[in-house]
Amino acid sequence: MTSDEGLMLQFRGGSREAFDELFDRYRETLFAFFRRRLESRARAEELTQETFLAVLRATELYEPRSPVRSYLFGIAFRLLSAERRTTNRAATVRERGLVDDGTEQALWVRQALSRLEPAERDLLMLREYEQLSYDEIAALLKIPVNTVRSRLFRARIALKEYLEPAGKETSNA
Amino acid sequence: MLNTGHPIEHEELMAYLDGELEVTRASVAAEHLERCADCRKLAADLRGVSRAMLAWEVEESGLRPPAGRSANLRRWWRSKPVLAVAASCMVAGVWVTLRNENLPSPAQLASSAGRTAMLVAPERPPSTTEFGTRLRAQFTDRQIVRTAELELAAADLEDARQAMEATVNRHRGYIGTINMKMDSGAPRWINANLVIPSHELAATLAELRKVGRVVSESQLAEDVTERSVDLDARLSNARIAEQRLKEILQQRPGKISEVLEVEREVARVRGEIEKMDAERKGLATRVDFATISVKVGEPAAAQSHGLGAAASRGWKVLVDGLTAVAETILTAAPTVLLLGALFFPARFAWKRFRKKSAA
Repeated sequence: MTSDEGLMLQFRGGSREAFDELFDRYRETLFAFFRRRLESRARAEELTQETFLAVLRATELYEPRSPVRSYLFGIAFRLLSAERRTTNRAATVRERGLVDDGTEQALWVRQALSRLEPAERDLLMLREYEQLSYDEIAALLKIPVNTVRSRLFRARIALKEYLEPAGKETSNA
Repeated sequence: MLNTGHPIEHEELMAYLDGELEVTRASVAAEHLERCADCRKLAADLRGVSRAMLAWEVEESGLRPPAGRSANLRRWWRSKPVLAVAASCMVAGVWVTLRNENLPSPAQLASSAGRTAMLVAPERPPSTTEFGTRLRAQFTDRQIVRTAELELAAADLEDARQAMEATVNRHRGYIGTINMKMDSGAPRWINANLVIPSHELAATLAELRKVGRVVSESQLAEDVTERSVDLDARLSNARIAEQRLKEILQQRPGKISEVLEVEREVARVRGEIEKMDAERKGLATRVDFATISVKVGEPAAAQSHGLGAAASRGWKVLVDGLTAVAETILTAAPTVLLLGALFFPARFAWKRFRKKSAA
């Protein structure tokens, strides 16, 4: 199987098929990235398309030394940041989803995540859902790797507390 | 964070579980985990958080690539030099702006997101949406609505009709409408609208030309790419607006009058969506299927050859000429008769008047 980077180079060489293959590989990943962070499914779809359009527009800017995955998430994260600035949603995770888009447990996770500090939440979600490495997260958020590690640890410990059943939480208080 | 009595920090333990700890420290962490119950508990907690987060799954998007799958970009650029120049200018502009950075700049992406936001915020000026439409149109396969008109002359109209039907079937099309005048004693003709898959148009026309002698032919290709992309964007806007209205309805109950107002708005937006959806489907059908308007008539006698035909044409010219004269006379007769009826009494009266004057 051709690597992502190989496909990107083929695409730069003019291969539409290579782009389509990349689209197939990252379509759902990027959609999930936006979907977990925006209330509107339609908006998540729009921004996923925008990410690929940005790749189309700026194909000459991609350099082989940069992993395609980081490149795509870089674009997606910037689009998300711009979207948040535009709509004043200020890094809020979807607290109210559509009725049919998740289980009770999923709702519980979403609510717990919404209680985290925005910066820690972003970081934790990038790690858990997008499976980015510490280095990738550091590059994306423009912070040192050590900061990634310490924030990630804090975020996980905090989330563990928020995920505890309410009864235990109150009895501890 | 320092942990008294632990050779590794808690954060290092987490990094070890994430596979992010350097090898030398990882071996220390693995060894320590076997001996330390507290750290095993921490590890279990951290793994538990990761597992719990997996409960939040996301439905599939079902998205399709921004442009069609069939085209090869290089071929596309070569076949559309004007758009290629436009796209090159755009890429050059982007490169000039971003040459110092691998990724598109925040400004560009913010601008891009602004365009996206435009699609969901109808209250913004339309120019940006139009730009977005044009941008998408550049990277979308051209969508062309093709129509053709063909006028044929065929000696046997029944044969021509059968040949036309066979041709349409062979190319997986169908006859949309057909009108025939087959009475003897008057010019006979067939008018038909044929619907053919667009990619079969050229082959179908080539076969239809063999059905009779081509009297006239014309083809029209209308590029509806931008219209289609614009329609998609407006449809997306409307769907988002509808969703937001529904969310408002669910989450912010107010006075009954306000609720009714929102419901009316939802109904209006839904109506627009359905209308645009129908238009979009109609447009897609017109792109996918070409229409051919065919008129088949019998050959004119004037176009026959030979002495007999010439004599026939001469006789016909004579008859037509006499007929025309007769028609003129008959047309003018009532007026001539009326004027005659008035002239003679007037002339008689005038003569009597002159006689009286002379006397």
